[in-house]
Amino acid sequence: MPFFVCLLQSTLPATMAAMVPFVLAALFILFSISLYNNLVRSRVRTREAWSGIDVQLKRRASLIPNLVQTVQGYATHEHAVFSEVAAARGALAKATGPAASAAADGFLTQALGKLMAVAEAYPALQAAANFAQLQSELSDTEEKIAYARQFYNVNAMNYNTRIASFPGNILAGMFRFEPVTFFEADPSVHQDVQVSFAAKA
Amino acid sequence: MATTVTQPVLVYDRIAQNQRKSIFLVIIAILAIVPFVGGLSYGAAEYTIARFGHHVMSKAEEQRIYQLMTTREPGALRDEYDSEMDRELKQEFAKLQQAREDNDQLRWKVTTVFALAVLGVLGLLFWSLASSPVSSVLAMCGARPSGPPEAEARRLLENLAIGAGLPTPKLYVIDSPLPNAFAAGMDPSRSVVAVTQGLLTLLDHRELEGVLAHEISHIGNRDTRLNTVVTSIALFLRLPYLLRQKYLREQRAAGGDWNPIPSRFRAPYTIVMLPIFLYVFFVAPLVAAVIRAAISRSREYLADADAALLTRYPEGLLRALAKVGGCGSANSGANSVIAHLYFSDPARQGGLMSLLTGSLLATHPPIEHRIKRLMEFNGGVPISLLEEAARTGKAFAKNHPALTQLGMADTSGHDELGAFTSGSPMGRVFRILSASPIYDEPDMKSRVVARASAGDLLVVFDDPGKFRQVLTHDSTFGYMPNTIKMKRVDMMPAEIHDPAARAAAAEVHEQVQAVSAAAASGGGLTGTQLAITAGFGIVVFAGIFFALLKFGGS
Repeated sequence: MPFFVCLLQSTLPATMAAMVPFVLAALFILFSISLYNNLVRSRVRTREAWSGIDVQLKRRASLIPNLVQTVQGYATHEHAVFSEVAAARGALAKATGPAASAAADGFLTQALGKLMAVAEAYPALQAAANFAQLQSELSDTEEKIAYARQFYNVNAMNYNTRIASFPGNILAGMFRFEPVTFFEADPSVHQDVQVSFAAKA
Repeated sequence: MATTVTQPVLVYDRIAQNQRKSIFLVIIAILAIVPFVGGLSYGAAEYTIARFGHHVMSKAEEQRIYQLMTTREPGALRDEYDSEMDRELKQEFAKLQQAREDNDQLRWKVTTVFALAVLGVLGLLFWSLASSPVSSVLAMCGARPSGPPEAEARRLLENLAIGAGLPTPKLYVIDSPLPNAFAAGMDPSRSVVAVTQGLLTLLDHRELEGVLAHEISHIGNRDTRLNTVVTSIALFLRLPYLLRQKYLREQRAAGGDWNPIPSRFRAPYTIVMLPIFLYVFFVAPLVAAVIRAAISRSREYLADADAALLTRYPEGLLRALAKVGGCGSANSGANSVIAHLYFSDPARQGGLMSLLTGSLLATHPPIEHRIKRLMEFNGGVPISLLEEAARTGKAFAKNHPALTQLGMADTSGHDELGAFTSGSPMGRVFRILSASPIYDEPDMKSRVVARASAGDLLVVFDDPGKFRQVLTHDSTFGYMPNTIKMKRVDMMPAEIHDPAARAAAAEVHEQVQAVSAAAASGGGLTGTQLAITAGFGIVVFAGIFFALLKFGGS
């Protein structure tokens, strides 16, 4: 026992001193790994949240042909509105990325607003059970888009804050973590889309 | 309602503040266990040494005697005999020294083992609380799965779950006119939200959205898990008290002398033990209860703030709170075991006790305070609107008198231990593993009313004896021998009549079968359960080993 204690006492300080750099290096590496993993997790979550919006946008787009068909059954002469809705739907299907999709989505909302305004002029259409059901489904989807958008934006904000603030920004620079855009309709983009539509129509 | 609106507060700041507070409180709760476990273990160690250890006198005493016997007059004559005696004395004292060291070692070992065992008990408490299925909570308050009339509420819940990034919880309805709601479940994928019929009738669309957002936030914040941790700590610190009460009840019922201490020792014994009694039976449980309530309150504020952030419409929750507050959902017949789960505190005590302990032991903050905090996010809500809502709630309460036997009746026995020991009067769902006839009477010779094949679901009622009372999914009631093997299914008794729920349970069953076949590990225990069991086994084994090592030889 005393021999063992002596051994410990004699070598302990020297061993400790030799180990300090290694321990520090190990801690630094572990910290970096966990930081990197956190960044990756945050990015994956943001993408997952984006796919949540995408699902709802697709669901909304899939409701539109039925809706247009139903309205067409009653209001046969409103070609301008129908083609506007169709164009908006096409633009939404083609749009990629949050900003473009948000702009296209805002554009579709406007077109649908016009369609609903047209529908109001036809009482028979208003009374149709099919139309009422489509309308409620559409409004439910819109609500879901709003919530999915909120979840995405919260995640995007967290991710953007993480890659912009120290020490995440160092790793983000090394491994090319790009900031993501929020899902919100930028007024200027919105205008552009409308102009391009006007040219097409 | 005199609510003064102070400076607007950012909802993010409020959320961060609430989270800091919860962490702080949890640390305090954990620190509260330390003196309890340490004291108990040290006491046990002292007892063990007094009983089995070497007998030693105090160190000072020993020193004094040693000094006395070894000091000589200066210049005194030393002969052979004297030095011989000196040597013997020194040997004697060396032995004494050794004995003291042995005792010290023994004390440390016993303290460690005992502390580990006591912590093992805490772990077991947590385990049994955590693994008690959600369905038992739902059955306890008489909830049923939501149907077509609640489609709107389900839709709201689904949307909110999208917003919070959580799997959509199942919605259950309690047929009670008192407006209330709760969320339960240890992890989000298996969580449920239950609302009362009264809540669905009283609140409009936006208000209901606010309440559901509050419950979803509880799920997102893993509040059930936190609550289970804190509850098991509180129960752990109350355990000596509860066991003592149980012991006294049983002794009195048996008509025996309840006090094991002979009557002439009682007074001195009580005086000596008074500080310990005070601490074990009074201070520790009280501290635990106060901390538990404080954590619960802070989580309520947090869920309110999260709900405001989730809906971006604090006014809905504000109006809902005002309505529920006006209705006064505090009723006496509520179940205290699940009180902390509810949207607003259903177990508020009346009378003097509530004046003394009401604010410290309440699991929910007063509704006025919650309204005030929510107003800080959104000062634009006119007071008149809330007053109007409170009036609506009051009118609702007048038109829908609370029936205490409905819904939230207390079926769990008279104390917290009852939740572990008593059976469920509503029956529990089991899957039968081999085919068996169901008899008309608890007798093998009686008429067979039905035949259950392997894999059928049955509601089984607790019945001591050779037969079980069972109810099949087509409502046939009968008896079945106790020898038939069965497996617990996490389902509500009412659900086995629903083909969809049966199919869902069968699917889960298949999955479990597949998994356990692949893993080929027996017992039907999960990894965590196995780990806890193994840990506990090791602790007990180590205790026995040390005891044998120590006392076997001497």
